[in-house]
Amino acid sequence: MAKIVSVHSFRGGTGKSNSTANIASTVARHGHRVAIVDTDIQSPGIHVLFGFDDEKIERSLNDYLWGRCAISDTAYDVSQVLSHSPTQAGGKIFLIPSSLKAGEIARVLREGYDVGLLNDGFQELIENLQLDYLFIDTHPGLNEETLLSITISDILLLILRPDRQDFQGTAVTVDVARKLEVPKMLLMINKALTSYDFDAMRESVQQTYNVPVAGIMPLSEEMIQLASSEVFCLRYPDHPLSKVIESVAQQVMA
Amino acid sequence: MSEPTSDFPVQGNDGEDSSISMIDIFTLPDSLRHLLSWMLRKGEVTVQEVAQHLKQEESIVIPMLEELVEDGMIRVRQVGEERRYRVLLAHKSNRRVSKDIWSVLD
Repeated sequence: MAKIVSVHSFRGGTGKSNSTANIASTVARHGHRVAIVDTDIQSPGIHVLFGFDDEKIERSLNDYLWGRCAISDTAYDVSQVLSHSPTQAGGKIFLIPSSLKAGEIARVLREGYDVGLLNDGFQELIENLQLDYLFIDTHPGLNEETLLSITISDILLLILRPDRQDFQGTAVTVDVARKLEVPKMLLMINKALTSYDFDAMRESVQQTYNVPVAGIMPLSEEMIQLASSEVFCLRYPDHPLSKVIESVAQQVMA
Repeated sequence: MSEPTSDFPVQGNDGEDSSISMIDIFTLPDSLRHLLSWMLRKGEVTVQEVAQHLKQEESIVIPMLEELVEDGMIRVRQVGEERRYRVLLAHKSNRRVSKDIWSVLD
Protein backbone atom coordinates (compact mmCIF):
# COMPACT_ATOMS: atom_id res chain seq x y z
CA MET A 1 0.00 0.00 0.00
CA ALA A 2 1.36 3.40 -1.01
CA LYS A 3 2.47 5.87 1.63
CA ILE A 4 1.85 9.60 1.43
CA VAL A 5 4.75 11.64 2.79
CA SER A 6 4.19 15.36 3.31
CA VAL A 7 7.29 17.49 3.64
CA HIS A 8 6.39 20.68 5.41
CA SER A 9 7.82 23.63 7.28
CA PHE A 10 6.10 26.41 9.16
CA ARG A 11 8.33 29.05 7.62
CA GLY A 12 9.83 29.45 4.16
CA GLY A 13 13.51 29.01 3.29
CA THR A 14 14.07 25.91 5.37
CA GLY A 15 15.26 23.86 2.36
CA LYS A 16 12.00 21.96 2.07
CA SER A 17 12.07 21.43 -1.70
CA ASN A 18 15.73 20.46 -1.70
CA SER A 19 15.10 18.01 1.14
CA THR A 20 12.04 16.57 -0.62
CA ALA A 21 13.95 16.03 -3.88
CA ASN A 22 16.87 14.40 -2.08
CA ILE A 23 14.85 12.13 0.19
CA ALA A 24 12.43 11.11 -2.60
CA SER A 25 15.36 10.34 -4.93
CA THR A 26 17.03 8.26 -2.23
CA VAL A 27 13.82 6.30 -1.65
CA ALA A 28 13.56 5.71 -5.42
CA ARG A 29 17.16 4.47 -5.48
CA HIS A 30 16.05 1.74 -3.09
CA GLY A 31 13.87 0.36 -5.88
CA HIS A 32 10.61 2.15 -5.09
CA ARG A 33 8.20 3.93 -7.40
CA VAL A 34 8.04 7.51 -6.13
CA ALA A 35 6.25 10.69 -7.20
CA ILE A 36 6.69 14.24 -6.00
CA VAL A 37 3.80 16.69 -6.25
CA ASP A 38 4.69 20.36 -6.01
CA THR A 39 1.69 21.77 -4.17
CA ASP A 40 3.53 25.02 -3.49
CA ILE A 41 1.50 26.54 -6.30
CA GLN A 42 2.13 30.10 -5.16
CA SER A 43 5.90 29.74 -5.25
CA PRO A 44 6.87 26.55 -7.10
CA GLY A 45 10.52 25.50 -7.19
CA ILE A 46 11.27 21.81 -6.91
CA HIS A 47 11.18 21.33 -10.72
CA VAL A 48 14.50 23.21 -10.93
CA LEU A 49 16.31 20.35 -9.19
CA PHE A 50 15.14 18.00 -11.94
CA GLY A 51 16.26 20.30 -14.75
CA PHE A 52 12.88 21.83 -15.61
CA ASP A 53 12.06 25.41 -16.50
CA ASP A 54 8.87 27.08 -17.73
CA GLU A 55 9.65 26.12 -21.33
CA LYS A 56 9.89 22.42 -20.48
CA ILE A 57 6.73 22.26 -18.37
CA GLU A 58 3.94 21.60 -20.85
CA ARG A 59 1.36 20.40 -18.34
CA SER A 60 1.30 21.26 -14.66
CA LEU A 61 -0.73 20.60 -11.54
CA ASN A 62 -2.58 23.83 -12.31
CA ASP A 63 -3.95 22.30 -15.53
CA TYR A 64 -5.40 19.41 -13.55
CA LEU A 65 -6.87 21.66 -10.86
CA TRP A 66 -8.65 23.73 -13.48
CA GLY A 67 -10.06 20.69 -15.26
CA ARG A 68 -7.90 20.85 -18.37
CA CYS A 69 -6.48 17.32 -18.06
CA ALA A 70 -6.15 14.28 -15.83
CA ILE A 71 -3.50 14.56 -13.10
CA SER A 72 -1.56 11.60 -14.55
CA ASP A 73 -1.06 13.68 -17.70
CA THR A 74 0.91 16.20 -15.64
CA ALA A 75 3.36 13.58 -14.31
CA TYR A 76 6.85 13.64 -15.83
CA ASP A 77 9.04 10.58 -15.55
CA VAL A 78 12.32 12.07 -14.30
CA SER A 79 13.97 8.74 -13.50
CA GLN A 80 16.91 9.64 -15.73
CA VAL A 81 18.30 11.62 -12.76
CA LEU A 82 18.90 8.27 -11.08
CA SER A 83 20.95 6.92 -13.96
CA HIS A 84 24.35 7.99 -12.57
CA SER A 85 23.77 6.55 -9.10
CA PRO A 86 23.40 2.90 -8.11
CA THR A 87 19.64 2.25 -8.16
CA GLN A 88 17.87 -0.97 -7.31
CA ALA A 89 15.64 -2.47 -9.99
CA GLY A 90 12.19 -0.92 -10.23
CA GLY A 91 13.24 2.49 -8.90
CA LYS A 92 11.29 5.25 -10.63
CA ILE A 93 10.67 8.89 -9.89
CA PHE A 94 7.92 11.10 -11.28
CA LEU A 95 7.45 14.84 -10.87
CA ILE A 96 4.16 16.71 -10.95
CA PRO A 97 5.27 20.34 -11.24
CA SER A 98 3.29 23.50 -10.61
CA SER A 99 3.08 26.16 -13.25
CA LEU A 100 5.68 28.90 -13.46
CA LYS A 101 3.51 31.17 -15.59
CA ALA A 102 2.75 34.46 -13.86
CA GLY A 103 -0.87 34.37 -14.99
CA GLU A 104 -1.42 30.90 -13.56
CA ILE A 105 0.12 31.84 -10.22
CA ALA A 106 -1.95 35.02 -10.10
CA ARG A 107 -5.08 33.01 -10.81
CA VAL A 108 -4.38 30.69 -7.90
CA LEU A 109 -3.78 33.61 -5.58
CA ARG A 110 -6.96 35.34 -6.69
CA GLU A 111 -9.34 32.44 -7.15
CA GLY A 112 -7.97 29.49 -5.22
CA TYR A 113 -8.88 26.01 -6.36
CA ASP A 114 -10.86 22.95 -5.41
CA VAL A 115 -8.92 21.41 -2.53
CA GLY A 116 -11.00 18.23 -2.78
CA LEU A 117 -9.79 17.77 -6.32
CA LEU A 118 -6.24 17.80 -5.00
CA ASN A 119 -7.05 14.89 -2.68
CA ASP A 120 -8.69 12.95 -5.52
CA GLY A 121 -5.64 13.65 -7.67
CA PHE A 122 -3.27 12.15 -5.09
CA GLN A 123 -5.27 8.92 -5.07
CA GLU A 124 -5.40 8.85 -8.86
CA LEU A 125 -1.62 9.27 -9.06
CA ILE A 126 -1.03 6.45 -6.59
CA GLU A 127 -3.20 4.12 -8.64
CA ASN A 128 -2.19 5.12 -12.16
CA LEU A 129 1.55 5.34 -11.52
CA GLN A 130 1.49 2.33 -9.17
CA LEU A 131 3.35 4.31 -6.56
CA ASP A 132 5.00 3.09 -3.41
CA TYR A 133 5.50 6.64 -2.10
CA LEU A 134 3.85 9.95 -2.92
CA PHE A 135 5.81 12.95 -1.64
CA ILE A 136 3.98 16.25 -1.25
CA ASP A 137 6.16 19.34 -1.31
CA THR A 138 3.93 21.83 0.49
CA HIS A 139 3.64 25.59 0.73
CA PRO A 140 5.08 26.79 4.06
CA GLY A 141 2.75 27.67 6.90
CA LEU A 142 -0.77 26.54 7.60
CA ASN A 143 -3.64 27.00 5.17
CA GLU A 144 -6.38 24.92 3.55
CA GLU A 145 -4.01 22.95 1.32
CA THR A 146 -1.36 22.28 3.92
CA LEU A 147 -4.02 21.16 6.41
CA LEU A 148 -5.25 18.70 3.78
CA SER A 149 -1.72 17.46 3.07
CA ILE A 150 -1.07 17.00 6.77
CA THR A 151 -4.39 15.22 7.32
CA ILE A 152 -3.93 12.65 4.56
CA SER A 153 -0.27 11.96 5.32
CA ASP A 154 0.97 8.62 6.51
CA ILE A 155 4.20 10.38 7.37
CA LEU A 156 4.72 14.07 8.06
CA LEU A 157 8.31 15.24 7.80
CA LEU A 158 8.76 18.68 9.31
CA ILE A 159 11.83 20.67 8.32
CA LEU A 160 13.17 23.33 10.63
CA ARG A 161 16.30 25.37 11.08
CA PRO A 162 17.94 25.87 14.45
CA ASP A 163 16.18 29.21 14.81
CA ARG A 164 13.74 30.42 17.45
CA GLN A 165 11.09 31.41 14.91
CA ASP A 166 11.28 27.95 13.35
CA PHE A 167 11.12 26.31 16.77
CA GLN A 168 7.92 28.15 17.69
CA GLY A 169 6.29 27.56 14.31
CA THR A 170 7.17 23.88 14.40
CA ALA A 171 5.54 23.57 17.81
CA VAL A 172 2.30 24.90 16.30
CA THR A 173 2.52 22.49 13.36
CA VAL A 174 3.22 19.51 15.61
CA ASP A 175 0.12 20.39 17.67
CA VAL A 176 -1.97 20.63 14.51
CA ALA A 177 -0.66 17.30 13.20
CA ARG A 178 -1.40 15.60 16.51
CA LYS A 179 -4.95 16.96 16.44
CA LEU A 180 -5.34 15.61 12.91
CA GLU A 181 -3.99 12.23 14.06
CA VAL A 182 -1.10 11.93 11.60
CA PRO A 183 0.20 8.37 12.13
CA LYS A 184 3.92 9.16 11.96
CA MET A 185 5.84 12.39 12.41
CA LEU A 186 9.55 13.05 11.88
CA LEU A 187 11.62 16.19 12.27
CA MET A 188 14.63 17.15 10.21
CA ILE A 189 16.87 20.01 11.28
CA ASN A 190 18.47 21.74 8.33
CA LYS A 191 21.22 24.31 7.90
CA ALA A 192 22.76 23.66 11.31
CA LEU A 193 26.14 25.29 11.85
CA THR A 194 28.85 22.67 12.10
CA SER A 195 30.07 24.24 15.34
CA TYR A 196 26.85 23.11 17.08
CA ASP A 197 26.74 19.99 19.22
CA PHE A 198 24.43 17.88 17.02
CA ASP A 199 23.80 15.21 19.66
CA ALA A 200 22.74 17.80 22.25
CA MET A 201 20.55 19.54 19.66
CA ARG A 202 18.87 16.27 18.68
CA GLU A 203 18.20 15.40 22.30
CA SER A 204 16.81 18.83 23.12
CA VAL A 205 14.53 19.01 20.06
CA GLN A 206 13.23 15.48 20.54
CA GLN A 207 12.44 16.20 24.14
CA THR A 208 10.73 19.51 23.34
CA TYR A 209 8.39 18.14 20.66
CA ASN A 210 8.29 14.48 21.61
CA VAL A 211 8.91 13.70 17.92
CA PRO A 212 11.95 11.79 16.59
CA VAL A 213 14.63 13.83 14.86
CA ALA A 214 15.32 11.84 11.69
CA GLY A 215 18.42 13.80 10.80
CA ILE A 216 20.43 16.97 11.25
CA MET A 217 21.78 18.49 8.06
CA PRO A 218 24.79 20.75 8.49
CA LEU A 219 24.93 23.99 6.54
CA SER A 220 26.93 22.91 3.53
CA GLU A 221 28.99 25.01 1.15
CA GLU A 222 28.71 22.31 -1.54
CA MET A 223 24.93 22.36 -1.27
CA ILE A 224 24.89 26.15 -1.63
CA GLN A 225 27.30 25.97 -4.57
CA LEU A 226 25.10 23.43 -6.32
CA ALA A 227 22.38 26.11 -6.16
CA SER A 228 19.51 23.66 -6.77
CA SER A 229 20.89 22.80 -10.20
CA GLU A 230 20.86 19.10 -9.34
CA VAL A 231 19.77 16.69 -6.63
CA PHE A 232 22.64 16.82 -4.17
CA CYS A 233 22.69 13.20 -3.01
CA LEU A 234 22.75 11.98 -6.62
CA ARG A 235 25.62 14.32 -7.48
CA TYR A 236 27.61 13.58 -4.30
CA PRO A 237 26.46 10.14 -3.13
CA ASP A 238 29.40 9.72 -0.74
CA HIS A 239 29.17 13.16 0.86
CA PRO A 240 28.37 13.17 4.62
CA LEU A 241 25.22 15.16 3.83
CA SER A 242 24.05 12.34 1.53
CA LYS A 243 24.56 9.92 4.42
CA VAL A 244 22.20 12.01 6.56
CA ILE A 245 19.68 12.02 3.70
CA GLU A 246 20.02 8.23 3.46
CA SER A 247 19.32 7.92 7.17
CA VAL A 248 16.20 10.11 6.90
CA ALA A 249 15.02 8.10 3.88
CA GLN A 250 15.49 4.87 5.85
CA GLN A 251 13.27 6.25 8.61
CA VAL A 252 10.65 7.27 6.06
CA MET A 253 10.68 3.72 4.63
CA ALA A 254 10.76 2.01 8.05
CA MET B 1 -4.08 13.34 -23.11
CA SER B 2 -7.15 11.94 -21.50
CA GLU B 3 -9.88 14.22 -20.21
CA PRO B 4 -10.65 14.16 -16.50
CA THR B 5 -13.53 11.89 -15.58
CA SER B 6 -16.82 13.64 -14.92
CA ASP B 7 -18.20 13.64 -11.41
CA PHE B 8 -20.56 10.88 -10.42
CA PRO B 9 -24.21 11.29 -9.44
CA VAL B 10 -24.37 12.38 -5.85
CA GLN B 11 -26.94 12.96 -3.19
CA GLY B 12 -26.78 15.60 -0.55
CA ASN B 13 -25.62 19.14 -0.71
CA ASP B 14 -23.10 19.88 -3.40
CA GLY B 15 -22.02 23.33 -4.39
CA GLU B 16 -20.38 26.45 -3.22
CA ASP B 17 -22.93 27.17 -0.49
CA SER B 18 -22.43 23.79 1.23
CA SER B 19 -19.40 21.56 1.84
CA ILE B 20 -16.73 21.89 4.50
CA SER B 21 -13.30 23.48 4.55
CA MET B 22 -10.19 21.97 6.11
CA ILE B 23 -10.22 24.76 8.67
CA ASP B 24 -13.82 23.82 9.57
CA ILE B 25 -12.72 20.19 9.99
CA PHE B 26 -9.86 21.26 12.20
CA THR B 27 -12.23 23.09 14.56
CA LEU B 28 -14.85 20.31 14.83
CA PRO B 29 -15.40 18.34 18.04
CA ASP B 30 -12.88 15.51 18.46
CA SER B 31 -15.12 12.61 17.41
CA LEU B 32 -16.36 14.28 14.24
CA ARG B 33 -12.89 15.56 13.32
CA HIS B 34 -11.56 12.03 13.83
CA LEU B 35 -14.19 10.59 11.48
CA LEU B 36 -13.78 13.19 8.73
CA SER B 37 -9.95 13.06 8.87
CA TRP B 38 -10.09 9.30 8.53
CA MET B 39 -12.54 9.57 5.64
CA LEU B 40 -10.22 12.04 3.89
CA ARG B 41 -7.39 9.54 4.16
CA LYS B 42 -9.51 6.71 2.83
CA GLY B 43 -11.05 8.73 0.00
CA GLU B 44 -14.39 6.92 -0.17
CA VAL B 45 -15.88 4.62 2.44
CA THR B 46 -18.81 2.26 2.85
CA VAL B 47 -21.14 2.00 5.84
CA GLN B 48 -19.45 -1.25 6.82
CA GLU B 49 -16.01 0.36 6.81
CA VAL B 50 -17.22 3.27 8.94
CA ALA B 51 -18.93 0.90 11.37
CA GLN B 52 -15.77 -1.16 11.62
CA HIS B 53 -13.60 1.91 12.11
CA LEU B 54 -15.82 3.41 14.79
CA LYS B 55 -16.57 0.01 16.36
CA GLN B 56 -20.29 0.79 16.14
CA GLU B 57 -23.32 -1.04 14.79
CA GLU B 58 -24.32 -0.14 11.23
CA SER B 59 -27.76 0.83 12.55
CA ILE B 60 -26.07 3.61 14.53
CA VAL B 61 -23.66 4.64 11.80
CA ILE B 62 -26.19 4.98 8.94
CA PRO B 63 -28.30 7.81 10.46
CA MET B 64 -25.11 9.58 11.54
CA LEU B 65 -23.72 9.50 7.99
CA GLU B 66 -27.03 10.59 6.50
CA GLU B 67 -27.11 13.55 8.88
CA LEU B 68 -23.63 14.56 7.71
CA VAL B 69 -24.90 14.32 4.11
CA GLU B 70 -27.80 16.59 5.04
CA ASP B 71 -25.40 19.04 6.67
CA GLY B 72 -23.33 19.17 3.48
CA MET B 73 -20.16 17.81 5.10
CA ILE B 74 -20.09 14.60 3.10
CA ARG B 75 -21.69 13.28 -0.06
CA VAL B 76 -22.88 9.87 -1.05
CA ARG B 77 -23.07 7.90 -4.27
CA GLN B 78 -24.92 4.70 -4.88
CA VAL B 79 -22.88 1.88 -6.43
CA GLY B 80 -25.21 -1.07 -6.93
CA GLU B 81 -26.52 -1.95 -3.51
CA GLU B 82 -23.80 -0.03 -1.75
CA ARG B 83 -23.76 3.57 -0.56
CA ARG B 84 -20.29 5.15 -0.60
CA TYR B 85 -19.48 8.29 1.35
CA ARG B 86 -16.76 10.89 0.96
CA VAL B 87 -15.93 14.26 2.48
CA LEU B 88 -17.23 17.18 0.48
CA LEU B 89 -14.40 19.70 0.66
CA ALA B 90 -15.17 23.32 -0.11
CA HIS B 91 -13.72 25.24 -3.00
CA LYS B 92 -11.05 27.54 -1.68
CA SER B 93 -12.91 30.58 -2.92
CA ASN B 94 -15.57 31.57 -5.40
CA ARG B 95 -14.52 32.43 -8.92
CA ARG B 96 -15.78 35.82 -9.90
CA VAL B 97 -13.98 36.61 -13.13
CA SER B 98 -13.49 35.01 -16.52
CA LYS B 99 -11.12 32.05 -16.36
CA ASP B 100 -9.16 33.54 -19.28
CA ILE B 101 -8.42 36.88 -17.63
CA TRP B 102 -5.13 35.75 -16.09
CA SER B 103 -3.67 34.74 -19.45
CA VAL B 104 -2.83 38.40 -20.12
CA LEU B 105 0.03 37.96 -17.64
CA ASP B 106 1.59 35.07 -19.59
